[in-house]
Amino acid sequence: MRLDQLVRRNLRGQRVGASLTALNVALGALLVSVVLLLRSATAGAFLHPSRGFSLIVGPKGSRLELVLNTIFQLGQSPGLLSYGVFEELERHPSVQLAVPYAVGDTFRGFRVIGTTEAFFDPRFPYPSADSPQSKLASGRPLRCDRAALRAALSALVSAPGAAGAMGAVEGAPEPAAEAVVGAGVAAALDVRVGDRIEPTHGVEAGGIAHRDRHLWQVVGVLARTGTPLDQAVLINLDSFFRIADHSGGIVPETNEAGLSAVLLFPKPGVHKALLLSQLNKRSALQVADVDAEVRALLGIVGNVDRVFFYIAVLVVVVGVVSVAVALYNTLASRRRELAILRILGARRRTVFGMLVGEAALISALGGLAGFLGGHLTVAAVSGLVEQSAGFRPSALVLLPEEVLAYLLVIGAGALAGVLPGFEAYRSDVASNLVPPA
Amino acid sequence: MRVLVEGVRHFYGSRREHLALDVARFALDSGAHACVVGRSGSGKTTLLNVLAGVLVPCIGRVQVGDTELSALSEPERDVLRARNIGCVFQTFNLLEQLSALENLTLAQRFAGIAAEPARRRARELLEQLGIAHRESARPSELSLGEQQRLAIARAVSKGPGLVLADEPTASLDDDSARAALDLLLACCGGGTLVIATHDARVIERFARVTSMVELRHR
Repeated sequence: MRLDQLVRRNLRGQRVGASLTALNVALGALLVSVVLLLRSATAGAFLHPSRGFSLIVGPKGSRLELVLNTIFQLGQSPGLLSYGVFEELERHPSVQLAVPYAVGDTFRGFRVIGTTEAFFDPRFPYPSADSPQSKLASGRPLRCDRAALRAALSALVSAPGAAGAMGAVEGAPEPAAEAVVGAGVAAALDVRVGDRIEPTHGVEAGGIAHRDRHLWQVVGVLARTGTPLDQAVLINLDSFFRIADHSGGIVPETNEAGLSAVLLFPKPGVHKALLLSQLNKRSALQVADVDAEVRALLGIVGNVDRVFFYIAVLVVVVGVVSVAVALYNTLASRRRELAILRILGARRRTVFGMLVGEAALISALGGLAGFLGGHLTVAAVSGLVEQSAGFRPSALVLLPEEVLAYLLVIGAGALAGVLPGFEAYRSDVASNLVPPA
Repeated sequence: MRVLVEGVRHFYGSRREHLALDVARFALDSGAHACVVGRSGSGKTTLLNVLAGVLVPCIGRVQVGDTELSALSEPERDVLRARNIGCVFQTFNLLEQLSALENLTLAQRFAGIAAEPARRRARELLEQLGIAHRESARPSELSLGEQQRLAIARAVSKGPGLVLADEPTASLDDDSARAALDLLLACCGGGTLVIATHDARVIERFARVTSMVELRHR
């Protein structure tokens, strides 16, 4: 019989007490696990969708608001940016790709974004793009007719509100109102390539219908990305501006049609820094570095979850201390057992190791139960989190931080066994061999 | 194993005010059996603890085999005890969380015997004692007689040179006491045996009976 077997037998002998002590550790480990999983999911929810973006240009205001509105589809657009800025940026020597973004409509609760085929350009690596087609699960990218776009823009500027129904711009070529829907939209509303959809005005769910009835032909369905893009409907920008209700989308200062934002992909090297410095000097616009803004946001969120994490660690510490207290309290009744082991030839260090081993095993079992419980808890509340926060934490991931935390729990547990182990170490053999009266 | 206790005095208490053991000379040749008698508190158990190396007397020398116990460090005495000394107690002192078989193997494992031979030897002894069918039973599930047989088996399982028994029959009825003593004497083999008792049923079986009073310094 080895020491580890003896440790297991001892714990089996004190099943109820050991289980209750392990439960203390388990509660702490559960909290740590839940906090770590939610923190990782929160970071993932912000970092994953922002991957592939570089700079976002928008009207002056909050950069974070611009990023949240453009990438995460949260809140209202902070304002409008002249379409001319987009054309200027498209030609800027530091820019390799500019993608226009115009929001303002919804389709049965899903946000509609007016953009061009630039969205499907492989230089826009979001969410992955070896080719325009690789962004699609089915169909083809939408096409934006530049001539029709110019006509719609001039009609919008010359007679706001009079652009009229689709295709009603005088002399304009027959418009192609095309839409590409996100994977989530396609799944939720059973929309397929070839269907016709009718967005409504306003970004909130239940928006009002346009004055005239406009229908978009679905030409593609985006591949699933696990980002807010899954919940978006892309339409070609020319059709977006041809809607009469979008006459409000004019920047008063320039009397130009407005965009919500421009996604900017600088050329490699110093061009990103150059663009940031140049554009932020301009009074009418600002440029947000997506990575920096998201990390700043995570820093704010991190402060809150750090507090939760410390509370969870405190609960683990209380649990581990309870292991020490429980073992210490049982020592009085176990002195005879320890003396018997010594008389059989066990060394002092063996009984010390046995107590430390018991503490470590209680902590290991409690910790394991806690971490499993944490994953089950996250699985149980993931739907609720998705409803309220917009992302679904996964219970099926094992984080390196969890493994580290588990090892620390075992280590702390072993440490908790040192004091009772030392008491056992010092325990006198001869006086403890006699059973208590 | 030869045993020699010479000029030993051991005191208890913070100021060593209580004399617990007083032995001028107690010697046993290797393989000899001796019965030490005396009233309660006369120092019988203390003498056995000194021989087991659990207690180091305040004064005097104790020799077990060729080894001077007082010259050994505590871990060295633990090793000596684990390998060469078997102990039997009035209260059996079996480990309740272990089965009968495991109680026997554990003692051998501390003596450095490998797991498989230890298990084999334990099963042989259980067979010999007639409790082979109870090898999975916990000590509390055994009768008093079975428990004492198991305790004796544990003491002799590692083939010690010295067996120390402290009132081994005090809790047993006549039949069980006789059987336990028979077993102890039979299992000791060529080992030296020291029994501390005041049980007449035991005393009458020994040719050499030493009183604690006789052992005292004069």
